[in-house]
Amino acid sequence: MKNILKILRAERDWTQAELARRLDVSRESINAIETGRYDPSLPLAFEIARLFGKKIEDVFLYKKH
Amino acid sequence: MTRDQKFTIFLAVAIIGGIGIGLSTILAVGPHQGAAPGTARIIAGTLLTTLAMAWACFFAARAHFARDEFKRQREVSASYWGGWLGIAASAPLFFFTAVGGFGPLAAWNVPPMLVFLAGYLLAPICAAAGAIGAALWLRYRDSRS
Repeated sequence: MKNILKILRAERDWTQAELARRLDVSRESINAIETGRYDPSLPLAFEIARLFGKKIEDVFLYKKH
Repeated sequence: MTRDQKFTIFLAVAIIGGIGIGLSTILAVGPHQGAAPGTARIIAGTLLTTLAMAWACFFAARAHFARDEFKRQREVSASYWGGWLGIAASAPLFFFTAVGGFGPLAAWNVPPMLVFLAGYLLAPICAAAGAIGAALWLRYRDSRS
């Protein structure tokens, strides 16, 4: 699953650590999500979308393999 | 308090408390004297060991759930794959022992209880070693990007 987390984070000038703190997860989690190595759970995905004021499908882009 | 701090505290409580209760078992029932053990000794030892394991498992679970979902998933993957790999690795060790690889040790007159303990611990130690190895590898892989 692709996502635009890095772009959204850059728009707000947040570091991975800052975003991690706001979501109460580790910086490694943010890094893994941004690089597509980890797909977050639905609750975390909703939490991320809510934090950026967007719909979940605007942040995470499902692409069938 | 951060998740990492909570994790460290719960893990420390699990390990230190578990070992503490385990050691108190020895203090409570005293060292094995070779004579036939009394009923009270058996019951006390079994109950305290149960308590030590329950304590360790409870706080280890609290430590696990103190982590975020990404680290929890990594921990679960490491335990599963590393654990199975470790158990698989214990098979050649078992075979080596079964065919007499440790034959020369027989001359040392190792007590049967120690032999039983070594056999009992072989698989879990190998599984734990595998899980730790897998966890370190996953952490290394994730730190590269």
